[in-house]
Amino acid sequence: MSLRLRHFLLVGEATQTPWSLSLLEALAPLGDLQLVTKVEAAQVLSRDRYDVVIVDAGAISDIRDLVDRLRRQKPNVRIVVASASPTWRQSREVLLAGAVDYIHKSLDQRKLRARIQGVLDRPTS
Amino acid sequence: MMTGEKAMSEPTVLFVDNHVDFLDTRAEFLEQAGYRVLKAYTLGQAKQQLLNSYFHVAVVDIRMEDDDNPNDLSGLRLCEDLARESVPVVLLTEFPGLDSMGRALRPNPDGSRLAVDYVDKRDGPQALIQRLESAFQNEVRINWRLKIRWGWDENLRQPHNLVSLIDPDLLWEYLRDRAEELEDVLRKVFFNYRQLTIGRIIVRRRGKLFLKAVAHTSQGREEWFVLLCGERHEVENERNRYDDFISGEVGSRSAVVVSYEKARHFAAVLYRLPNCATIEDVVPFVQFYQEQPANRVAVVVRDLLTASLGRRHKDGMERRHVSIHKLYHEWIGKALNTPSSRSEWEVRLDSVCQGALSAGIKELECTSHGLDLRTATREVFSYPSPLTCLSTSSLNSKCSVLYGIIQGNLDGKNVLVDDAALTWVLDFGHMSKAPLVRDFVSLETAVKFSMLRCKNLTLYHDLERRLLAQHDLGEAVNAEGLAPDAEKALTVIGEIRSCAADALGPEMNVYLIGLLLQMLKYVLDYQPREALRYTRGEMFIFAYALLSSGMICRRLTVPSERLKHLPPRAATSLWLDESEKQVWVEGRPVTLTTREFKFLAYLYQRANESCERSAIAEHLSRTGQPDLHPSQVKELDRDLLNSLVRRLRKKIEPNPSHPKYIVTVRGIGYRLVLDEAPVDIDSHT
Repeated sequence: MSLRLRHFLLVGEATQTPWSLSLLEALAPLGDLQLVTKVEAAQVLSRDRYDVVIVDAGAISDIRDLVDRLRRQKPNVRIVVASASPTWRQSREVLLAGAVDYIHKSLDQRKLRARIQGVLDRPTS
Repeated sequence: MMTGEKAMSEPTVLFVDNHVDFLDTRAEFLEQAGYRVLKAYTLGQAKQQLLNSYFHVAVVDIRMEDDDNPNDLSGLRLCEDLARESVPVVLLTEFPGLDSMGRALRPNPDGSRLAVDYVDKRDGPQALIQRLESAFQNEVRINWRLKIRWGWDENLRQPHNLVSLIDPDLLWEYLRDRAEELEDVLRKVFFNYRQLTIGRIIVRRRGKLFLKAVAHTSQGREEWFVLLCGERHEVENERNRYDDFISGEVGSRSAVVVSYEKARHFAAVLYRLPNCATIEDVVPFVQFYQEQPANRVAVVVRDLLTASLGRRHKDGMERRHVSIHKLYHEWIGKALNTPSSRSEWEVRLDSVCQGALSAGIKELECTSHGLDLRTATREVFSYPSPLTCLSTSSLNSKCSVLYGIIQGNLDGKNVLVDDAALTWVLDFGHMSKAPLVRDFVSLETAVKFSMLRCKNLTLYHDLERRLLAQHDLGEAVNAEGLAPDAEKALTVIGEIRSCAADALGPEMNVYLIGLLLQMLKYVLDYQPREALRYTRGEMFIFAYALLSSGMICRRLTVPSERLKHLPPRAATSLWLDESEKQVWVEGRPVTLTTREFKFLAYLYQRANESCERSAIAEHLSRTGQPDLHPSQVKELDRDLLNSLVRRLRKKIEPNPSHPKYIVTVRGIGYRLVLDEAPVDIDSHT
């Protein structure tokens, strides 16, 4: 495991939610997490480098479009979509749009960290 | 000329589902939508189809073994086989779920996926047709509207001809499928074009072909390319080596990859030649050699070895100290000193001589001591067997060899030349980091074997003797009295060697070792069991390679015979003989100019002592020009001594950038470092 501090970006609600706090705690051993809205995401992404961008599907209506736009903006960025009520149709949409993983928000912190670590272990395309 | 207005193949789908009725009804819908459907009701049938049939996309049901078992993901196992063959898969299921969806579409670390889409069976036939359309559009990417014109080259009247040239051993029943597949690969490579004309073959290699191709865009603009197509693994190897060794180069004259596509058995790469005015007019070097005078060919040789290959040669260039046995292993791919390789050699030498005799080449004879050449004038020339030569201890000593990125198979057919005598290199499948001398000796060998048309062993013997008389690579070769053909070959080889002298240094030894290994490689290619299949021309090349290897061995082993009569220092360190004006370094004679010799002799007489620059300069000026004024001596000191030392180091030091013999003593001058001071010099002269 790399000792380098990682940078994560969570695209979702403007304010902190119980899940974003839980995610913050889960990822704390790996690095820092910044919270932005969908509108701010493009600007922040063009300015700073992030190891993983996590998209909160509950806060975004046109999720496929957002994944598509982020991938066009930064083709190498690794995007993970998190949903409280995952469906295979939405999973299909986001994976085909270029997300590398699709996770259930109900995952406990240990499993959540393991999934994100799995994404970090992948080489960027 | 035959015009391929319509594609040979049509969009074809392998449909794999254990529900017979479902498969049959869906297949009807797909056929109505314009697809050809191959059906497989079991995994076994699907694997058979994968083995024997050609299709573009597979539609696979996830539960192929037990519809009632939620753990049955057998369809995904088939997807792994299909992914290995680069077949895009649309997964089909009656029980969609996050788990199977994730396994199918979540990208692997290399970016690949098991499937390109995932469809619920209950979504109806239109959904499946829609997903298939998108798979064909995004993954298969075949330009169905491309008009392909065949027949410019008479060997290529239709795609079947191309397949037969790439794989002559292909069974007849597979020919149609493979021709369809190869045509599809071309339609992928030329995805953005309206019309393609397949041009002449430039060079044919095992499993692949380089061709000229001209394509027209939809705006009617004409663009010329070099097209490589062939067996997938061959083209992939070519592409990988290109990525490893070339793609980062800027401003080079290697072919540049424009696009690359692969299918199950074939792949193709489209190259552009940078700075080339018209690809239509470029010709292989072999053809240029036959059509142009020697001086023009020599210009092309210099352009090839300095401009086209020189930059790459310098890439990661390093000097290594390696034994000939290691070089042999790298070059030939086998160990030399094993009993099996020795007995293989003995058989090989004997059978080449016998094969030559059967082909009417009577001049060469294998004898107990080696090889004899009997000329028409009844002269007999005897040479050692290369095997004996390679076993002598002198060849076990290490030599200093320059390594860099080489083309690896420079045979003149894979070099293109245009009207302006500019060159481009193709064929990257043998590129590697290896001794640079390989590129020079392979081109020299190509001139001797492929370009010099005359097949007379006595003439070749004469040519080789003149070349072996060279003391260093830059020295002119005597061409007096040779036939015009041989004189041309000698001029061109002289230019190759002159380029080698510039790149590797003038020293002959490593070049000769390279030539020897190149010749031995040819001899090892001889297959005694195939003897009757060889033409006289082919047999002649084997005989010449064998003779030449014996001649080079004689030249290489001469120093070792002479070494026996010299002090041991000549073999292990540095030895200088004032009376004979000769210098030996670590077993090899070194040729020096008069001034270099005087300088070295001065240091040698004062071995292991620091010699002042001013004293050295005064000695050199006094012995050379006794009337020099002291100020001119100082001038000589400043201007010439540095370059003299640089030249000498290049000739005698194993690694000139880290000299071990002539070392600089800061603030004073130079010191010749020897293990012990020579006892044969006891007074300073």
